[in-house]
Amino acid sequence: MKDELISLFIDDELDLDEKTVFVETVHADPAFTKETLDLLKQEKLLSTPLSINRPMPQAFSLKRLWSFQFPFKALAAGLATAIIVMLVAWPETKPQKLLHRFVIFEPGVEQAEIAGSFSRWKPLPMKSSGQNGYWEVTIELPPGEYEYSYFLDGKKSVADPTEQFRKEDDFGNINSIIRIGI
Amino acid sequence: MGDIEAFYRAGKDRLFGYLVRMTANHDLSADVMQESFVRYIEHYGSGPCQYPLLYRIARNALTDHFRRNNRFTYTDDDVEDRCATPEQTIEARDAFQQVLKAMQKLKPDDREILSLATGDGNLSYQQIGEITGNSEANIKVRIHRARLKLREIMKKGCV
Repeated sequence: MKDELISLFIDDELDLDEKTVFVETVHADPAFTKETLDLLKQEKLLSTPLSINRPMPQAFSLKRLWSFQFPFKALAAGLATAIIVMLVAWPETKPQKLLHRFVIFEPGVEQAEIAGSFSRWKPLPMKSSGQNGYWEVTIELPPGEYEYSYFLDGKKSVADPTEQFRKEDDFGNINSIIRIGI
Repeated sequence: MGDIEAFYRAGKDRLFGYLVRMTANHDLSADVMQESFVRYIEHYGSGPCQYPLLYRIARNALTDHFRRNNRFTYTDDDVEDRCATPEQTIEARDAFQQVLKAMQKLKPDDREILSLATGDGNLSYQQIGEITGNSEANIKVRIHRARLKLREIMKKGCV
């Protein structure tokens, strides 16, 4: 039971009574003290700080649009329902195109392009977002599933690190797969 | 938007750390981290920012990934050197790789509970209980046992 005090101590979960018992045990029991020190050392190793440099996911901008509170939400929901009814009523209507922003963080390159099934694999230029290393392009796309990859400095092909689904093409390149509006 | 940006900035490294300790895989951890934020914002973005909910989403995303790939534990070969930070010394990087490898030898439940408890801005036992669906008393016992098991694996040097 007392042994668990070590983890409570490591995780800052001791109450005052438990702190008293912990300190008394450290003073009285060298084995307990050694175990505490061992586990502290292990914890320090396991707690090695980690960081990841990834842009905020695209969905955040959608959330921003949605964050305007009621009655705007109700209005938007009504509008969406009306659009759905219209689409059902006129099935021949062309699917509405959606804007999708593709972003990649590549600070070390001079040029970034995107090519995919939506462009018949013709590279489209991406715009550098200032000095912060991000490249972006916004493309209007009908709902559907698309394969794509980024081309850096006109040669290196890389999949989108922010999209989990990928597929290898006939040439051994790894392409990302994204679903827009479906 | 500002609070969401702050939530992302404050939470991404913590969540990434949890996922790295769970998988020892840099790319997978980064992808799941980002996917979790997307799911969180899509479903709960209008409410207050809650870390336990974010971690629960990440946990589910990771379980989905494991199920898809039919594996719940990674092997030594999966432990990537990139999981360490460039500022670390070679010795520190090696030591971190060793402890990550040892983590992969723990049972998934033990690895999970220890991954949640460890790291910068670690979660409280109460929050870990909310995430895993266990009582605080249960968490208290299991975390310590998981730490002891990890120490045994490290001591045996079979990592």
